[in-house]
Amino acid sequence: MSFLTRIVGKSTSFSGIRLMSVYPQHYVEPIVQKDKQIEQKDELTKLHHIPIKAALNKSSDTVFHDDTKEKLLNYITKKGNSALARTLLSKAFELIKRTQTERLNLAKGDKDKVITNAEVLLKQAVENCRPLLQVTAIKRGGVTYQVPVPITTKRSYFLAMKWLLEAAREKERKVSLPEKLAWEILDAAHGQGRVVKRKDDLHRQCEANRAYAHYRWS
Amino acid sequence: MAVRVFGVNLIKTNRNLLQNACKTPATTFGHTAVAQLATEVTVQASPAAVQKQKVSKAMRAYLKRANEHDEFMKTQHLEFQIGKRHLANMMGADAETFTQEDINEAISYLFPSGLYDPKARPAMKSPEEVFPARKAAEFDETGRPFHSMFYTGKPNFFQLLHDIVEETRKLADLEERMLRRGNKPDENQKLEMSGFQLLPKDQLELVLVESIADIEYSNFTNSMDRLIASPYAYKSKAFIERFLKPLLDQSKQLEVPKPKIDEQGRQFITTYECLRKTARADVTIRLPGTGKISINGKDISYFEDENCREQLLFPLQFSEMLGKVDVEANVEGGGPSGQAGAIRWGIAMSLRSFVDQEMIESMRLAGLLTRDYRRRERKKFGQEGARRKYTWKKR
Amino acid sequence: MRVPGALFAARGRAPQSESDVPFQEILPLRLKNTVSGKADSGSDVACLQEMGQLFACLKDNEFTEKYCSKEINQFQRCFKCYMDRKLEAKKTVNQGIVQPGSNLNYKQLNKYMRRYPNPV
Repeated sequence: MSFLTRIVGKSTSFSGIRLMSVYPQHYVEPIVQKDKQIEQKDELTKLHHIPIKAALNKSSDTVFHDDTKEKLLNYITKKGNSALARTLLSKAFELIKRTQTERLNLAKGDKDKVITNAEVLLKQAVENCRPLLQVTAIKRGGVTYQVPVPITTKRSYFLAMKWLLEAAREKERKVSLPEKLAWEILDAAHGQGRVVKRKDDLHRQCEANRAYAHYRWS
Repeated sequence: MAVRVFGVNLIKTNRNLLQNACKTPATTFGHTAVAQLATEVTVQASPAAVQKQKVSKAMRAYLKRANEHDEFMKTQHLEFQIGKRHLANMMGADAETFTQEDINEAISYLFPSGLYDPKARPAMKSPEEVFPARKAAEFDETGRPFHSMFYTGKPNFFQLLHDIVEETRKLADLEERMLRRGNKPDENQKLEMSGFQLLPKDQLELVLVESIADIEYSNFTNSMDRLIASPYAYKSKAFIERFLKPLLDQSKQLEVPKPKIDEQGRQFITTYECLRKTARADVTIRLPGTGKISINGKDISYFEDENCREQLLFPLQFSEMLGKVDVEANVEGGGPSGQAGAIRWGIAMSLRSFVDQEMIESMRLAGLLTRDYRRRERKKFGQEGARRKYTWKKR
Repeated sequence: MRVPGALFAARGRAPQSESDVPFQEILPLRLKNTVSGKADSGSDVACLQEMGQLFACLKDNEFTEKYCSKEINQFQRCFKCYMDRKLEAKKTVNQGIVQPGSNLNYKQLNKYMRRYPNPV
């Protein structure tokens, strides 16, 4: 492992922060997707002299790649078994596709309204489940107040996906995870279901505690 | 660098001494500039002219140290020359024209070493390289320092800071004058900084022959940044460039190999030593091809995992060469994901020979051409894993 | 005749002589040249008004978000602005660049006071 320590040793700049990464600090993250490269074309000239980190072994630039999907895969994964997570998610997508196709065939008249693309549905579901605020417990004079605070976009996406998964995992033994996940995604995509309700409950709780909003940290 | 400092000092002190020193046949082996100057210290120490004036204690101590150092360097130099002669004899070359490169070659031939760290391998270098340069006397015989900032302890460094500030002020004045006149800075001459970097701390220390603290280095970088940020920075380009280090163009750093021709008349490139985790592979790419992939004699079904297969195809798909080339790979060691990663890197590296420069840069930005050095991090004692700590409850 | 003590008491207690109890400077009689950064963290309250508007709108529309898109957008923009400003401020503070002005943070103050310390 000597080369590891060598690389880390090279990169210890005078900032004094212990660097845990194998890559020296001036390495930057790769831009894997080609369309993203084209998007940021103006900034790429700056990267001309800067070394790039290696692409991760799950990154790809195919039509099947989707950022939301990748993130959800990470959340599904337990104990590093990402292969299983992949199969579970693809099964869930297959189920979504099946039900949606069934609905499409049963639908009378307006057939364009039924979306059969599972990835689009997943994105819609996540968007519908994103909370705007959350409550944090703040102790003031021995009393704990539930204080509504705004959250960052990243955290709102995380919470949405976490809730979807929690809802999917809370099931009877006979039902499989892909089945339940597919239902939840379909429900959430149409703005119904437990996850959307959970988000609304959170908003209601925030509204009830609006009087404490000016207590924030400090 | 010590040479320069030393030379300046000598000229400042007494020119006669310097001339004397130059006239005296210094040493038999004094073929480099440093060696000559190193001997001059002894000359400077001995003559009677010095003894007339009162020699300060510090000067005496310094002269003693300098003498010892010179003696030491002299013997080292002698030994180095003898060693060089021996090496030249062994290699059957002429000792007079035996360069440092020849020495390195001879050493690696005569003392082959499998040690990983190049610093740990046997080496023979001239003593000037091995022993760090030392500052020459910074004060005259009476103990009066030459430099006005001698008592800061780091005269060269603080002089540098002064110089930078002076340059900055000069540029600010210029800007003021130009503004009054209604002139604008020349956009064409603007200083291009994207390919350059300020000297890192260790290199700056070598330049200054002084060791500086972290905060002092950050002072240096801050003041340099202020100087460079000036719109008229191109006026003091020569000064700034002394402290710049050019950065390498990353995509041109590694030479792209020329493809060879095999017996069927197809172009091919083989990349050996494709490493990832504990896997090791060699990958051959053949140009007109049909997209055939063979890994250890099997096709892509060598990998059962879907993700690994996707990784194999990733560089081919990215560079739009899918179905145009044939891939052959031999891989051993590691697990499926490591093996797939090794082959992915090998394919990407080999494909460079068959795509244009723009695509190479694009592949580099996608992180395909970087070797992935990450390894499994070891478990630590007293911890649950590499990073995770045991749950701890006070009571 | 005995003089009653109460007569003396009207004058108050006799002062102690300074030679008996010399003055001791236990803590230095001047201010320190540093300030602590504890109180500088400031309050984290932002976008209260936008939040109030959002709540009002949500309550009116029974928590259906699509009717409040204007308020939601405003609120999120405000929060993003606030976070950006905070990040920017943190960057400049960590650099410790002293700018002219009265609104200095503790790092800048310390830098100032190191340059112009209290006379001893």
